Amino acid sequence: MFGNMNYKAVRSADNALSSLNKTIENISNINSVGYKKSQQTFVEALNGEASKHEDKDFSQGPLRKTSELYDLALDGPGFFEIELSNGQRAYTRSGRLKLTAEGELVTNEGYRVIPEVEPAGKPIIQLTGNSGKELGLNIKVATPKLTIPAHLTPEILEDGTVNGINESTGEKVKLGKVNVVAFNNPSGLESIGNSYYVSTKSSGSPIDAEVGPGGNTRVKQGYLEFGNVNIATEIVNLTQSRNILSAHFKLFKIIDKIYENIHYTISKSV
Amino acid sequence: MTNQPKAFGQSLIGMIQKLKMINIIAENIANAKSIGYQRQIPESANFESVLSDLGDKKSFRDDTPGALQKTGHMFDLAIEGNAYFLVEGKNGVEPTKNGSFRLNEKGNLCNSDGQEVVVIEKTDKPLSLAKDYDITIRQNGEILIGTERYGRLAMRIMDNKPVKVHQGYLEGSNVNLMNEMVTLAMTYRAFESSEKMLSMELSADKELIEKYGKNV
Repeated sequence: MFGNMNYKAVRSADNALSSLNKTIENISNINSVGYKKSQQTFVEALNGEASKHEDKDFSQGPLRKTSELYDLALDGPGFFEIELSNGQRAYTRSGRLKLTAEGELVTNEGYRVIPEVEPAGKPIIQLTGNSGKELGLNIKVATPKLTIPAHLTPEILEDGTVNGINESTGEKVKLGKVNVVAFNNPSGLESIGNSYYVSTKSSGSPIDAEVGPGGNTRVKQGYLEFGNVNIATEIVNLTQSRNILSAHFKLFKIIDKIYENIHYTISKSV
Repeated sequence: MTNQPKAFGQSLIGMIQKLKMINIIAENIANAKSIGYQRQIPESANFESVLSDLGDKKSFRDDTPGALQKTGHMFDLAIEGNAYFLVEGKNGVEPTKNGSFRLNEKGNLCNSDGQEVVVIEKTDKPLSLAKDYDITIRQNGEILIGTERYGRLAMRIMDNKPVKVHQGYLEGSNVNLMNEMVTLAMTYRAFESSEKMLSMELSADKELIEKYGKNV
């Protein structure tokens, strides 16, 4: 009947400890670009045990002006779509971008940002393997590429459109558009580190976000989004978790004393 | 002499009762940060009633409201008043105080375990909560997308007092750590005295046997 009391207390002390860890993680990422704080919520499960739910809080972080040409921030919900080195799609809100030697927009880690370009990716049809009687046909659709020529200065509008401005003539050329997507359930996204996320079954597949001056989301050039961590809340959480943890230690002590007493009573009288 | 053996039982049951109370306090402390948790009241009852329900665990829930914490999330809801949200559980509708909701992949409101929240009086229009960021939940539980009505949150109301739903807030547990620690210390002392009594009983018996047993 009381055998699981100790076990239960250990489990919940473990929970309190991990919530302390999360708070520390949040505080240390207060200045990380695109960082989303992780939240731990507890819910009573079976037999009074507290069960732990962890999810990311995708609320807006503060935007700070950097005036860098390739710093992009999202004001509103949504994610930039990028391609990992293995071809997998990932999503991020960290818009610290740079150019490759070819003039392509990549993230700080060198992953390609998926753009929308007109005309969209053309199928490339190649004849392969003409040996004997067999004729191979290789069709592949190249992922669209957005290249910013060196002589043009990029201007990124609030709806993600990338224009190139010729400094000497003042001429504007539309180069493409940065893709911004949204999710039904962003908390279902799986974090793969460095503020990158991949979609899961629970997050659903990406849908187009309403981007633009009239939409919910605006792309801001020359700004970066910082971590959405509120230091006051985190400190309060820290104190709370610490108090709960020390309450658990007290509880352990008392459970231990109870066992000690029982053993003492019984052993003395036998 | 006649009622002497009963003392064992009394102090033993006292010890078990105190253990039960400590168990409940442990549960309260474990859930001190759980959303919408209502603390159980560790209570000791008089001897007869303890004897009658020694086996089953019975405790009362303290339904005083917990403090509302502001989170600012669109789907974090707190109920002010004695009422519960309803979610679709495995065995039908389950009441819950935990209003930390989110959207599932279908775009329906669900809780963190993925159980869908019961929404009644839905409009005929196929409105979806997904992709809309302009969602207001009124104090009476009505969900509005922009200006259009989506439906109303189903609630189980326990008394006649008015109930308000607050959007962007969560109801914390009503556990007061200070209170629990004091009860814990007191319960432990009570346990100790029961245990002392048992120990005295045992040593009295031992002495009796040793003294009279020597003469035989």
